[in-house]
Amino acid sequence: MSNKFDVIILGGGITGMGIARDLSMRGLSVLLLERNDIASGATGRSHGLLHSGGRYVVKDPESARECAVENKVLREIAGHVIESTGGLFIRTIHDPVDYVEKFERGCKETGVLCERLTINEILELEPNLHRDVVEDGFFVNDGAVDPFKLTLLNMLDAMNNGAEIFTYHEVIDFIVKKKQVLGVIVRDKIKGHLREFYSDIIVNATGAWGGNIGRKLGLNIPTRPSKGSLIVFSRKIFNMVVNRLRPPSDGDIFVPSYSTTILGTTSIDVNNPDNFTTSHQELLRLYNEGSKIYPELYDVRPIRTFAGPRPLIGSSGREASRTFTIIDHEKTDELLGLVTIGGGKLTTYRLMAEKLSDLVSSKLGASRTCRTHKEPLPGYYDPIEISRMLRKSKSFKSHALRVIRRWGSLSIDKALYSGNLVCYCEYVSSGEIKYSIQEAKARTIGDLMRRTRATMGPCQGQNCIFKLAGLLFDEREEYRELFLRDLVNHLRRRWSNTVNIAEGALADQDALFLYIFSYLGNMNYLVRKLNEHGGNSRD
Amino acid sequence: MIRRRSDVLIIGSGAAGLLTAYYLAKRNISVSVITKGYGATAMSSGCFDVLGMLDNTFLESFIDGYEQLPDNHPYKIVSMNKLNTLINLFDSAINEAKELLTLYTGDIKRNIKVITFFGSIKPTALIQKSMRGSILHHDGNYIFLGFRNVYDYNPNLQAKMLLSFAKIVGYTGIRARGEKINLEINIPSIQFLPVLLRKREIFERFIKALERVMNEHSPDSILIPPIFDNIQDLEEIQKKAPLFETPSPTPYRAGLRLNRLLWRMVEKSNVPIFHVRELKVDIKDRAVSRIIAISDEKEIEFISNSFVLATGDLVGGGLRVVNEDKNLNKALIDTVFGLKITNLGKSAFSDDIFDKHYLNKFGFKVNEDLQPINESNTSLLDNLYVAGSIIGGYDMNEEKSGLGIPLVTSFKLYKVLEKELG
Ligand SMILES: Cc1cc2nc3c(=O)[nH]c(=O)nc-3n(C[C@H](O)[C@H](O)[C@H](O)COP(=O)(O)OP(=O)(O)OC[C@H]3O[C@@H](n4cnc5c(N)ncnc54)[C@H](O)[C@@H]3O)c2cc1C
Ligand SMILES: Cc1cc2nc3c(=O)[nH]c(=O)nc-3n(C[C@H](O)[C@H](O)[C@H](O)COP(=O)(O)OP(=O)(O)OC[C@H]3O[C@@H](n4cnc5c(N)ncnc54)[C@H](O)[C@@H]3O)c2cc1C
Repeated sequence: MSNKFDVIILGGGITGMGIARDLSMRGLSVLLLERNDIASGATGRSHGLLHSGGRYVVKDPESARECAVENKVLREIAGHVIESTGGLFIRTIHDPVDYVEKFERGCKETGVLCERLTINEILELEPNLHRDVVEDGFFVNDGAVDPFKLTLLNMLDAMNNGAEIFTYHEVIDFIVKKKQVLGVIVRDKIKGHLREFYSDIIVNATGAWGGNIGRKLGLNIPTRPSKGSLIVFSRKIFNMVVNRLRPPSDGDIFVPSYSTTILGTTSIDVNNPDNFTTSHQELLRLYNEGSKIYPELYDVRPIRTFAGPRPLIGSSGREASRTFTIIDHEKTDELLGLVTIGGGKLTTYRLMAEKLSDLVSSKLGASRTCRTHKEPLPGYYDPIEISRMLRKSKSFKSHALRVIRRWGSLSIDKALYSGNLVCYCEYVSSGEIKYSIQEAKARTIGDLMRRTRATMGPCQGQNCIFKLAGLLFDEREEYRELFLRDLVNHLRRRWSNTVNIAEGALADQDALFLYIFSYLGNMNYLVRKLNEHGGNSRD
Repeated sequence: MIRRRSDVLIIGSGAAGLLTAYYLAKRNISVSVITKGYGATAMSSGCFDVLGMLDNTFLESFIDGYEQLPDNHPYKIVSMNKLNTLINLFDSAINEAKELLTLYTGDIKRNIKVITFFGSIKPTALIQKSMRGSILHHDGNYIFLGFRNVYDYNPNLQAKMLLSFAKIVGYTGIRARGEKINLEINIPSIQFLPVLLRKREIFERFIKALERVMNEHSPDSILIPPIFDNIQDLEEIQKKAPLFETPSPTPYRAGLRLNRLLWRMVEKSNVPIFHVRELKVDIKDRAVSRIIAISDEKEIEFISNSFVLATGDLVGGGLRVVNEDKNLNKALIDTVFGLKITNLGKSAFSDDIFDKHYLNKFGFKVNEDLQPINESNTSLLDNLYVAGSIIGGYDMNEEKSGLGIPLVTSFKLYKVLEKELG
């Protein structure tokens, strides 16, 4: 492989991966560099809401318009990883009455489809809503999308079109000559060595980390990382996405995701985008707001919390526009060979990628146009085909259905349902794990989690973390030197995301987890000894 | 409603509850046991850890660590601060429950290092006989045994883990490797192996594979997790090959084996054990007057002189972390009486799994008669006693002192109750 490309993309979130797909489909040679795993930044830590646009119709009409259009496009190319849940915007007695009219007008102006419902209709759709507080509401076309899978499918397609994707490659510096960026210096985080790559254009799609990248070049890229926290609950609370009908605020969206429900979010400006911890105050906010429309919330078993940094550009927090920004550093800084993209949403990633790719193409004088909205992503299938696919799968049907739900027709083409079960909570078998390792670049336990949902069920990996490490150990030589660090890191991460809400059954589960790994496995001894010996086992 | 009278009612059928019942029954004191099912004992590795570590250092014996334990540690309390008393208590506890020794080997006063399911090394005192080969020796040659296309664990990873651990504990002469054998049959999970081995031809294939492994590597032990419900099945294999079990957590069977043995010992002593779904407690004049147990079809009223809580910790189900208020402040309560043990504040555990967890120290505070007491050292209820991991004041995770606590507290409690009841 040569180390020279037409385009190098920095960042393997949905934005970077969308660009990789777009440019490679246009026939350009592309390298994408991601310092951790794909979708390990804001993308994998998002709410997974395929926005109808309703949330932004009043304050951010441009973003609303983009969402409305892309919502439709994504269903056409990625319907297999989208759950068409539909969504509600609910005005409760706590919310401003005058917002209703603004909302309806906003929807009309931005092309966001909405339908006013009576209280009875609302309660019929979602009988779990707190009857005493619901006053008004609308139906919208919200959906739930698996952000890991969306990114992964973009990656697979980019690879099919010749793109190179390097995960665990961190950009640490740039090679610059006379106001022209020529390439990057990258650290391979697994093997430990440095590498250099060159290209005509570099795309900075590092989201909330964009400012850090800029600093390496002495540029001031005004990213404003805003941390959002979410709580995952162990069951479906609502069947649809439920939003509060009010200006966007904390704890006002419930998204059904597979068999769980995710409540979010908060919005806190942070200096350091690597701050992934959820504070107690944030939890209180989420519970407090969430329980206004679902008072039984305190009794539902939580599974875990997580947090991610919004890649906002310009003004901060809830004030910032959710539309996106492209910075051509040739124009703003007289620096050639670098463009930055920031802001936007998961929902609008494809549009963002298209615009950015148009700019890059014109700079490179490439003639082909965007096709990402015309060609479906790998695994896409016509829903009518599902019974045929089920018949083809040689696994028991409830397992096959789950795999199809995760991978679409890839589950049949690649026999992802095959082999013995590894994760009993989410029904993941060795076939799916091996495919993820061999063909979808999974290199750590966390990578497998993002690709397959293994470890994401109620036991949070208690029964399969060790098995996943075992599979990686055989399939990847590099892992034989890495497994201890990865295991320790993963146990730590899993722990810190659950203990902050641990009570009732979750606390019991955590205690058992502790006894298995720390007590019986004596890992607490090992980790402390390794630390004493200077071998810091922390990431 | 059916009524049952006994001198003592024990709640909980883990090691603590069953051992207490067993000791009392042997002295002809009438006992009943009520339980919601299996708890931590059945999920454990089935080895008796007494006191394996302090300050992240391996101890040769619990005797070496005794003086350093805090005064409110259950070991200090049951022995009234005298080491010799504790030694006697442990010796008698084992002697009086001789049937345990059909399953166990080792010396309660001498810690050994064993190789666990994970390939890690952990101190313990008594191991099941089937685990003899998992004892760590300086020049040991170990093979972890796995099976092709079976993913419950990876023997190669286990071996590598053992070598990492061995380096840290200074056992540099150890040899370890993983071997995956192929029985030419689909094994969905290693848990199915014992059933498959009932077939003669598969059994013979298995023995052949073991012989090949022995010829190639001459290991001291070939290690698998405890999957045998029937230990004779393993002994059958051991006639031909040095196949041994590693201490392993649930869903492997060693803890269950211990719990079942204790259960049988108790039933043989004519102590009835009742499965219950829900309990209602009646308290009169600072004492438990009766407990009404609701099982699937019927209600049973239990009337006793003394009541023993042996309901375990969070894992066993005796303790529960609850949100106290809408600020998500947490408290620890017991699940039978609803007694509040302590406020935990915002989090029940430390946020690094490998740190010390202050929750671990919490459980009932007790006096030397194993009665739960309040801050001013008066008993909470006149006829209530506790045994096992529901007692606070010790940190099992740091000390590796799991089943030692039920063993010694149940024996001590039997002594107390015997005196009490005349
Ligand atoms: C809490 C939260 C909830 C959200 N919910 C939704 C939602 O429901 N619906 C929706 O449409 N949008 C949602 N969003 C917005 C959406 O997640 C983001 O807009 C989108 O994921 C951004 O993708 P990205 O690729 O630009 O950034 P990221 O996903 O953050 O990707 C940037 C990548 O760059 C990598 N990187 C950083 N530095 C380097 C380096 N030096 N070298 C190499 N790589 C580097 C990072 O590791 C990271 O993977 C939410 C955001 C947050 C924070
Ligand atoms: C994964 C794991 C591995 C371990 N490994 C080891 C080891 O290797 N060595 C070691 O020494 N220790 C180990 N331990 C610790 C040890 O198993 C426990 O400390 C010990 O078994 C506790 O015994 P117990 O009798 O106090 O409680 P348990 O065994 O938990 O018994 C509690 C009993 O009370 C019943 N119960 C609970 N609540 C109620 C209620 N409300 N009503 C009625 N009944 C109720 C339960 O059903 C159960 O029968 C391990 C623990 C775990 C979880």
